[in-house]
Amino acid sequence: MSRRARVLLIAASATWLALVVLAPFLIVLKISLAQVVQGRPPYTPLLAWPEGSVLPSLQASFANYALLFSDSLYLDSYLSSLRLAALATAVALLIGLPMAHAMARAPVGWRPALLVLAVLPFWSSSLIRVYAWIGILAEDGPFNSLLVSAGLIDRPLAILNTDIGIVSGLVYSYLPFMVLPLYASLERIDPALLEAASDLGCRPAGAFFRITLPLALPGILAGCLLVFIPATGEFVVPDLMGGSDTLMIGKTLWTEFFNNRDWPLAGAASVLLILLLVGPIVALERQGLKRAEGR
Amino acid sequence: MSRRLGPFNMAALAAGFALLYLPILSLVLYSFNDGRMVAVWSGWSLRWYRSLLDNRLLLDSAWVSLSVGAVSATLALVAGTAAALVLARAGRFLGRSAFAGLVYVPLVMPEVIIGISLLLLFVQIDLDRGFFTLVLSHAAFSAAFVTVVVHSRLIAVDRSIEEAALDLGATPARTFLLVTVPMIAPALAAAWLLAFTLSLDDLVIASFATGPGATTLPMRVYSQVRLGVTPEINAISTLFIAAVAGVVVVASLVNKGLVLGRK
Amino acid sequence: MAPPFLAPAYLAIEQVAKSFAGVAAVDEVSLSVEQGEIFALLGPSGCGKSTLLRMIAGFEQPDRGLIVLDGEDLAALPPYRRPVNMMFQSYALFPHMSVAGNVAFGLKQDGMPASEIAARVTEMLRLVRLEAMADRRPDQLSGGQRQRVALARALAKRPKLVLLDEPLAALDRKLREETQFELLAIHRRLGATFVIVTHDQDEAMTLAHRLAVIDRGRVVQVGAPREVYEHPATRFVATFIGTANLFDGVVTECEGGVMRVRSDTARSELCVRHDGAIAQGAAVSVAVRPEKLTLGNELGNTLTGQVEELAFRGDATLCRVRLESGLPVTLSLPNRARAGAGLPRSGDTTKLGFTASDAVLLTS
Repeated sequence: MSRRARVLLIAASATWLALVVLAPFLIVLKISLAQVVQGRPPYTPLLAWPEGSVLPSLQASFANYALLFSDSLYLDSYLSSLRLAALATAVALLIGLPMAHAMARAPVGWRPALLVLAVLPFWSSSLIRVYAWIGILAEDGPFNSLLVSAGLIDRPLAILNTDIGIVSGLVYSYLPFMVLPLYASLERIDPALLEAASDLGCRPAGAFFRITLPLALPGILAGCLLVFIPATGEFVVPDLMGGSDTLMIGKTLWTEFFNNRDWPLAGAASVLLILLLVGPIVALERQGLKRAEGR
Repeated sequence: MSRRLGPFNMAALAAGFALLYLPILSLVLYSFNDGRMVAVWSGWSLRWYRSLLDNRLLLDSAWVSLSVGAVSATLALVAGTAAALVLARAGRFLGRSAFAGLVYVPLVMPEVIIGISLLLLFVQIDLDRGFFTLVLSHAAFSAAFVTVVVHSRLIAVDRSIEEAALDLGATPARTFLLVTVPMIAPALAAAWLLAFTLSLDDLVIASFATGPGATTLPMRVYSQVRLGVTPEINAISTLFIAAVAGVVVVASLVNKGLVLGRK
Repeated sequence: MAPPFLAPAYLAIEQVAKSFAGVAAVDEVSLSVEQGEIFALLGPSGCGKSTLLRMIAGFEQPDRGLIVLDGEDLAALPPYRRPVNMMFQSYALFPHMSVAGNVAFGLKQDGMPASEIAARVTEMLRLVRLEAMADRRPDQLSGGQRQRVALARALAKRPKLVLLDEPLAALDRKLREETQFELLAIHRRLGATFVIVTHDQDEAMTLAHRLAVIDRGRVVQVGAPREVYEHPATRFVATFIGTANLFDGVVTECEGGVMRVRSDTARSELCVRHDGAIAQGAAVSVAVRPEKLTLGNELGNTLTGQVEELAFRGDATLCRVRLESGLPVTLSLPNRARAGAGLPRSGDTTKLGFTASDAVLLTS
């Protein structure tokens, strides 16, 4: 492209990103250092001009961060979020891997349809899916009815409002995020490799663990990160499915922001959450960047 | 390579799709249930769909969702395609890694954080929340998805075809419009539809970024779900799923080039 | 090699150089191409010929040097303004346009009136014998048909220079032979100037009026195919084009256009016709083409060895003979009679001979 067009394009695109991605994040950072006050906006400004002074002074404090580290509510929220998200990721992997593997081995004519079917739930509102899942797990819902009528339990299980319920809700919501990258990775594996393995005397199960799995590692990594990161900060599932006992940072953040109106604290909690996730986020970005360079 | 799937694979497929779809199917089924109780089947009925028509709040919010979706998808398409073009065609430049990093941030950030950060931005610049901020917020995060889709198609384009156009006398601008765009058109359409659907589905970011008078459908449904489950929710969800399914099917066909007459 | 200051040639490439990441892809290349000729750039992959072609087309900028076409310096012009059109190795047909649309594309960019465009497109399609396919899409055509569309598209604007990047590489053997002759016929019809890039020496020799052999970014030899084949300038040219048996040795005598070379590998003293003087004691190679060797010892130079392998090739039999020194020598014996008489058998000891004028003395 011509030099001028190139510069214009980069400038325009960079401006958009600066405005809607970078600036918001910087503002969150700034607010995390502020104090909560009454009024609009409900936080102290970063720079204040003291009486009779031309130069502003910096009004920043780490009080919010100190509060986060000392308040067990937050510490527990972070820990349980990481724990539940990790569990959900593991379960999603266990369910998603056989599924994606089957899709990747399906006859070629089936694959577009299978892909659409796998993606479809993702494209319907997460709210609807959680709601549907609640319907299944409810005390008077089909899951319990099935177990009771099969004689496995006497009384309906109260799965909702438990950790298991939340993990199942997370798995259900994020399963397509696991299946898609897994499928993409598995589909790329040349079937001739498995034929070669078989020719050299390797049984199908062995070939799966020694050839398919290692080659699918990028997809597995991507899928796990794509589930773990958003699940950690998930709001809808813990809000609709969890009770007052379950603590997930997404819900805590929401409550802090809307109910307590403590924006600076919510800001600090957000920054801390990003820091917690920075490792997985960078790993995922590297994957994305590798693809951006054309692998 | 065996043509048919083995029993283990078939079982995995069946179980996986059953898991994904049974809850949704039961939701759809009960939207036609005559009775109120979710667990008790009282016969086929369209009463909940009919009562939906009287639910002004739901209908208004559906309209808001659709218009926000269309506008934000278009904005996201422009912004996201521009970023994809930069990554695929602009070569190396100072700050390219930072640029690429920023592009993918909305893909990996928890929605609550995106919502908070955007709301704080609007407060900082003293922008009243409403339709416009909602559109901007949805475009902000769905543009990243657009970039992923369009970029992966752009890098797959045979560069020699663009060179051939240049060689035959087309300026870079005409090459882009006459040759590149038609070749990536299915990806552009799919990206728009993806952005549209993401906007339609979103609850968390909308809750942060919107203001009075611009309540989206998910927000309305969410507030009703908290109050109590009614089969009307099932009905609206079913309509929603049908609409999204229609959109996805159209997108797949477009991607195969059938609708645009490529084959 | 072309002199640095060229008489006005149609396409003049003067001391063009291009490096990528510190490695010279094209290293001070100077060439001149006459109007109306077919000129081939021949060399192994990675030798820089494609880079050179892309610089003529305008997709790469030379670090140094001039490219002048019909008196016009091309360096200032972007590819869409050069009177040069290229036939791409991958054909690069526009997938969303019909065959006619592809061929018409360049004409539309020039603002030609629609009726003229239609006429020219028909003319071009007739030239490549694809009139019936005008409305088809590229994905509905065979490889050979796509190649012809790419050719028609490159010729449609009647450019001053047509560049062909490995035009026959993707075709199978039979199709390649047919297409070679078609290409020559089209060239004759249009009177255009072609520059072809290829790694296939058969292609270069069949199509080109003149060719340049390129090795690692430098022009090693320029000349007509017969000239380059029979009088290779270096060992590289001798072995890259056709096969050559090389006997390394030392010049013992130089008199009256005949060199005597003592070669250990040949276990004898060889006589080679060579114009020009070479110092006594200089290290040289004597190159002899397989078809110039015969069985027997009636010619000036004689070698002795044992027959190892025989390979029947249809029109000739290739014979590998191992000399006493261990050096393998390849002979090509024409298949004159169907009964195959006169062929040695594996294991036979035999004598080989060649004349002094059939060998070439190489100093580099």
